Amino acid sequence: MSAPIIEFHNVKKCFGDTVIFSDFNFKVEENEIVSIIGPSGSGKSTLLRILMTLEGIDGGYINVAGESLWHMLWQGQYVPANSKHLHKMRNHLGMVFQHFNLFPHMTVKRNITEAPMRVKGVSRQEAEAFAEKLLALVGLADKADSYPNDLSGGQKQRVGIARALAMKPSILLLDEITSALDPELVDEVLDVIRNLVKEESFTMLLVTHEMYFAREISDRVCFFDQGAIVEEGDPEVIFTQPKEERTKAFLNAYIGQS
Amino acid sequence: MSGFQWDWAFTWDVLPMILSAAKVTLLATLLGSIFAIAMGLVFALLRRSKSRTLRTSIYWVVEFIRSTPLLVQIFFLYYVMPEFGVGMSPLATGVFALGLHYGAYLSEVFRSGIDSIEKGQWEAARALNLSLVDTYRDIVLPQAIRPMIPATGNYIIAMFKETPQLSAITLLEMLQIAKIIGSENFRYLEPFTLVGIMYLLFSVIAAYGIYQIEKRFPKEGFSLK
Repeated sequence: MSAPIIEFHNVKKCFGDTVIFSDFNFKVEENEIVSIIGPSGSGKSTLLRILMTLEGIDGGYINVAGESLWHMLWQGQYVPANSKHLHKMRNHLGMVFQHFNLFPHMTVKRNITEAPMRVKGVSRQEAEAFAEKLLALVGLADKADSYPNDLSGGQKQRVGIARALAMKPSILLLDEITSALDPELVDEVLDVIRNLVKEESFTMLLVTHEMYFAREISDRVCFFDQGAIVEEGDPEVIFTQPKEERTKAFLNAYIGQS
Repeated sequence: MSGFQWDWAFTWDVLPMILSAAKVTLLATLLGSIFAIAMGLVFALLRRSKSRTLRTSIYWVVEFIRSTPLLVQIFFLYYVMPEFGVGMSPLATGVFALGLHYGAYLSEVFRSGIDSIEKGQWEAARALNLSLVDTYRDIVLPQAIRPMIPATGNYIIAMFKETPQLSAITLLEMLQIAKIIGSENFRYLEPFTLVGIMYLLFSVIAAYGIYQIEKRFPKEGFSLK
């Protein structure tokens, strides 16, 4: 078996005096789909944000695709990564945000072609052809020339997914991608992800509150609480026979709600 | 003495001279604005730099420029700089001084405009691996321009109204010409009134133009297809 594509080693992360992770270890294998569930404030989103280099770490180290994410070798020693190293490492990763974060002044097509053209130097023709393919994939082929504000929340998030895929990341990070949506729009977004993993193999890390979706799509589910993995394993086992009291309490509260 | 009576013949006589001086005033304002916008942007971006030293020094440079009178700066550039071998024409000095002075004010406008862009936009840009230059040019500035328009416009109109200060370094702008006409003919009523009307006219037109630009500017920002 090859080395894990993501490895957290004794990672430490604080926001001021608040400790999010004190000694965090975590691994994801290539092409594994991992769902992270747990109460809010438990550090789930922070985990994804650290991987996307939106947040730094205060200790430990992280490897992505065999290379240190936040550190680089310099004269035989590991030193904090410079922006060039981070730029290189970011090419492995793509992220879809809870609040979409689409660029409102750009057409849907431009939202998707911007990064491939600017970052990878892909020609406009090629970028637009790929954007059209991606828009067809997310069922929005007719919206290429619309602006984000003319779309529904579900449509916006599907554009968000297409935009992330345009950079061809090997690891896709989904940060509560349906939490900001009206309930009737959730499934159209989740269907896109379902189709995606059917057609291609991805390493996918998702933070979600959609328990049925996590159960259905994941290879592994991690229950997070207070910056640590309380329990993890096969989704069927986690959802039907959780061992830990905290997992049981959390899942009961969820089932009670829905 | 007929000085208190409005003399139409004299008015028509001197109007062409005032109008041609108005060109100098407008040119100084136009070039001054371009320079001020460029300087303002540079100051604003440097004040967001990662280096604390750079941020602090720019803060003090801006504070210094804003807290000293424009006229002192104009005199300094025109009379002192040549001693260091940097001499410029009155117009070039005027443009430079106006640009620097108003650039300092505009940097605050630009800074708050840039700050008004949601954090999510920066994060999306980073997640897509856009460079800092790409992020500013394609994501941040096109959205930040609209909220900056009214205040920027006000500063440009204020700059326009301060161009008479350049008469102090012998620039032949409107007020200077009116003064010359007045002293040569012993009549100040018509030339100064004309200058006042010119300033009023241009300011009102400019204010209306700025309002129109703001109104027509898309709410989401400068649109990119």
